[in-house]
Amino acid sequence: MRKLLDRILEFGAVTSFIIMIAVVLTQIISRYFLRVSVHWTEEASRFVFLYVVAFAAGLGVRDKAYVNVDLLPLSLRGKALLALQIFLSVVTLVFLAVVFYHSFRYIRIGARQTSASLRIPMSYIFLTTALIPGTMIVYQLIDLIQLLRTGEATPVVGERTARQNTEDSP
Amino acid sequence: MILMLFGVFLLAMVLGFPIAISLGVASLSYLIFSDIPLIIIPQRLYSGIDIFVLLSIPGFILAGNLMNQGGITKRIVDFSNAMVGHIRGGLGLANIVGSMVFAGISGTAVADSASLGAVLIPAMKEEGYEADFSCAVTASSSTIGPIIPPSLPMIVAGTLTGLSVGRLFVAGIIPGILLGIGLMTVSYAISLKRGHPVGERKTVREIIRTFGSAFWALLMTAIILFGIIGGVFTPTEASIVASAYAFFIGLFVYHGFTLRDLPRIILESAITTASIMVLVGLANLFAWIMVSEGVPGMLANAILSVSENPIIVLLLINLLLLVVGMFMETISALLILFPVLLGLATQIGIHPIHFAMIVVLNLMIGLTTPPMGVCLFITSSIGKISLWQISRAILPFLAVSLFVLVLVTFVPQISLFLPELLFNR
Repeated sequence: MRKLLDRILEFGAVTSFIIMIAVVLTQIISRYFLRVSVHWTEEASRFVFLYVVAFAAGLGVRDKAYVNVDLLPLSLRGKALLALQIFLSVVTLVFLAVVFYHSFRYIRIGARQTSASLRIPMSYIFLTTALIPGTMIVYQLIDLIQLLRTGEATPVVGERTARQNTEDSP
Repeated sequence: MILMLFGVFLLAMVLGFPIAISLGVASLSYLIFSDIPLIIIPQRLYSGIDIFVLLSIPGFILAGNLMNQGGITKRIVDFSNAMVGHIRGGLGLANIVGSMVFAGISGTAVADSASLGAVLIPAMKEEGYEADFSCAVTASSSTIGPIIPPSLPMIVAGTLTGLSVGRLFVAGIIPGILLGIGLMTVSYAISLKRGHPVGERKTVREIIRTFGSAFWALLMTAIILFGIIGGVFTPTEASIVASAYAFFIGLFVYHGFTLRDLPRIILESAITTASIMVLVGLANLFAWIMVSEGVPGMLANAILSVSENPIIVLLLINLLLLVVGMFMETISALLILFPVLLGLATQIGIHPIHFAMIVVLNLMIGLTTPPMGVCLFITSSIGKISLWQISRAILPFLAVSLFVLVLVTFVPQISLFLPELLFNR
């Protein structure tokens, strides 16, 4: 189940990223080589960009890609660290749930508007404001359940960015 | 009310919430207490992301990742080393030259210190440089990256205020070179005193060979710069062209990756992008609250009540930014503070492009200021030294960076000369 969700979101993020690149390239090529100005590309690329963010926002929670100041977590051990992590997780979930809930009212407003150039209902675009907190909630929940079930704090990696980036480089 | 907004934000950040969530939680508590409909949250989240110029963020992130996977870092290091390696402390100097060249590719200081650090810190230690010196050179030189174009902070600064991103890019060239020269001077002086190793002098043939190998990477910077300056591309288009270019070079010229690696590289870029954009969206909400509460006016009055002398105002703004930069990540600091401070700066007659340069340079210096600078964490973990050791070793470099900041602050021509020359206005 979890794996399936991973795959769907990863596929969505990569595909929309590629479409975004293709749309911008279309804009450049049509302007310089075909000498026609295409009016829909600017809007289309922005909308696809929102979907890149929507698909990848939750994966960012999974991969702990959101930057934080981990001075306090780094100075705690054992039960105290576990308690802090549970607290952070619960508050984050509450916040995301509020955004998720209110995004539906926003989407309903969007149903009455159409986009300037592509003439599609804005609700399809505003949907991303539900997907962003929605996917983040799923992975935050998985994280919280993990904490509660094992009763052990996740080790804090102070230099997370450093580690990831050095693994990437040749 | 407004005190609560900042109070909750700072508390949440210290507790260890992601900065994006800290901004969100603070805004939420403010909205609830002020009885403002919460639908404003998705609305601001959406309008903060739905901006065409911001598409250059995924573009440059992907281009950087593709170039990195393509093995570009090592080629840039070899090229810089061939040029300055024969001088005393040559690897330290090569590190700084490498950062200036690499700057044209990645656009973020964190990426620079991680990728160059991974290659150069072990190499420097092996040749007999002290670990703390190696880390300090890497950390301080990585801050040149976002000053020399292309630069993510400049894109964000331009987007927020409607300043031309092309002009901002060009304005960063001279300050970036100045910073590079300043850091090289310090590095050379320390190397003389400590008797750091001298590399062998490379033949002209060797220099040409390493240049040839790094050429395709350098060409990418040239394409981006001239494309934007010449008005051929918008910054967003330039970033996408850069990633398409990086894809072909990495795949067919450098053979650094295969088509099968591509989905993974794109996915990594998408996740990095999303984590930045959620931050941008929620910072947009936070900034909206600040504006509706009249914070820009209050801050301007507070600073102007101390003095209306531009020199003193600039000093105060710089001090404020240095403190903020120590604790806050660059993009969120820009989102929250830049529009607020820009109003104040133009009020006392400072050119917006010049002011943007001051702010970005200042926030970059914050990345290497002890005890919280991110680049210090990254390089000290690569070099396996303590935060205390690197904090001490960085001091001379920090001093020269601050000196360059003072120069850029009080000599507007450093930032404005090139944009005026190239955009002839």
